[in-house]
Amino acid sequence: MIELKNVTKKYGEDTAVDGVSLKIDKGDFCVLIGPSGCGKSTTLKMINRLIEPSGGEIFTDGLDVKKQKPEILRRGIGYVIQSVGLFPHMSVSDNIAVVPRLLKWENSRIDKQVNELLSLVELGSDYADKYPHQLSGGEAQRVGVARALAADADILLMDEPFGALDPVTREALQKGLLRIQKKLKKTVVFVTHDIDEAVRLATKIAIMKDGRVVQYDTPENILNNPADKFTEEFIGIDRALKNLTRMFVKDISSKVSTVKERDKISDVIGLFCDKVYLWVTDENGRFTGWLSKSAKLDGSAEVKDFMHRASSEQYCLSTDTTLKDALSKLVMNGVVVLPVSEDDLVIGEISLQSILESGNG
Amino acid sequence: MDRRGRLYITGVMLVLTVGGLTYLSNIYGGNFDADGVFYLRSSFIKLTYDHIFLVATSSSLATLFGVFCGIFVTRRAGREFLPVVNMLASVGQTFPPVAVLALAVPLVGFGAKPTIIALLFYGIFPIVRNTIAGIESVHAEIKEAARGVGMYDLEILFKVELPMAASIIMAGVRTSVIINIGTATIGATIGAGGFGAPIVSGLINENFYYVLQGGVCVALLAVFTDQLLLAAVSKLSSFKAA
Repeated sequence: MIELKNVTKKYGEDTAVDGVSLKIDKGDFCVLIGPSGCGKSTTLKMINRLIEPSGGEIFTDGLDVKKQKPEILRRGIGYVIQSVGLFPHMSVSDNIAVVPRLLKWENSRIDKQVNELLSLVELGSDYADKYPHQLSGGEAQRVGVARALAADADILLMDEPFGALDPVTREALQKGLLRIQKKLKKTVVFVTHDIDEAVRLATKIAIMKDGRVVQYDTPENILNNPADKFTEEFIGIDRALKNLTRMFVKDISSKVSTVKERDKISDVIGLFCDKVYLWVTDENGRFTGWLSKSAKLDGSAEVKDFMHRASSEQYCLSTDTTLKDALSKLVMNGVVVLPVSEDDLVIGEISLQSILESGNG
Repeated sequence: MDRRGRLYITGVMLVLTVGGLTYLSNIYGGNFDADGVFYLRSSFIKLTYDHIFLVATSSSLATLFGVFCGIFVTRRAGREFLPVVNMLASVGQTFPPVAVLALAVPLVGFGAKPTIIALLFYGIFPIVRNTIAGIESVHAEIKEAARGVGMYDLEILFKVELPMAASIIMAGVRTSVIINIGTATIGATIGAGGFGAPIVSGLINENFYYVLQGGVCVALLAVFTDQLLLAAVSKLSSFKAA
């Protein structure tokens, strides 16, 4: 748990951070966001005393940070900055082992930890002996995250860690971070200026402007009820769509009965009810196309004689797709309903109506 | 030719030259015809030893003081001295070593001591300059990362700054040692020995042979030492910074 009470930072006459109070619960993923110069990075760095506050109090796990030696405090808090933060003269494993070595862990324990972390951030053990200049930006940042996790700190501070990466790599790392966070449940403070990133990752968002926190709430509440004009503009006109990036197909997919290619039409015609389409699968349950409701259907024929064949890549949605991407796929194909598949098997469907309903919520 | 080859060849040439000169002066030393051709006042092995002693002593002291000084002015406590030291390091190089020699003699007398003081004074500047440059070449982000993971100032110095600056510092040491090998010859004017002895003696007596023998030995020693230090540096910095 982290608590900031009326924290202020002044540089001469200028006030960088102006009376910020935040309470970040254990296991929360708190994103500090705002335009350049809003004091978000300064706020973050005051938590591990890289910057000393001019006023106010900061507590980590109930302890006043001022009462702890800065170096000792920092060893207990994971810290990630942009990829330049790796030590270029140390191998990947030495970089990860920095804090455990400072804490004088035994070598066998360090080796075990390094291996576990490499696999946690999805880098193979063959990366251990590489040097930072041999890594891509995304790989270097994975190592950065592993280094911050190395000493099993409960708190993780991340200062625009993915800022310098291309969009594809950034998304992969965001997904990886979410997966890690789900498993480890750290208390994370994450600084970014990318609202999409914030919405995707956060359980709490603090919007900052001119050194003050304008709004501190869950992403859903911020997107649905922006506190003022500034927040509304900052989160953008497409905030309804952004909300959809936090919801997944599996949350609203409805169960549906499918038919097989070899089924007789007379056996399946009753399944239509008020539906227009029935999803058709092969013997193993894999999507192969659909059957449209029409008067021409001949009861004695088989499904495959009347079905429309289509590729699952184009039409199927996987369960971990965001609703925003699902919506996009519906629009792209010009339809109101699409099948949902898991491990290639059709398990349900999702309709435009259901997305609209959940987007309003 | 690769680096290792150059190291061996220059080494062999130095040994052959010094050995050959020693051998020849032993054989023809007393011969009337060869009188005045070979420098006989001291054996070439002794000259080599003296020369290396002068350079090794002064350069190790210069490295010690130079690196220490470079570290000091890049610490918070010594920051104020950085501009002064930077300026001294540039200006000091223009100060003639003979002048230092002349100033040192009245203080410590003739022989090796004033020569070592002059060489130390002269050789310290490239080392200070490169130590400062090397430490300053470590990016602020890297230092912040080091602070961020909880390193104490001394840990940052020894685990991050010095290892990353090592190759630049060693380049300064190399420059300093090579300069000192050449400059050490002036020590002969105040009786410090070394390869300067035949050169100075040859110049006074207008004996071209003496000057040549001393000069070739100094040059070979310098080239060989350069290769030796290069090999040491490449071993030291087996990592390649991006």
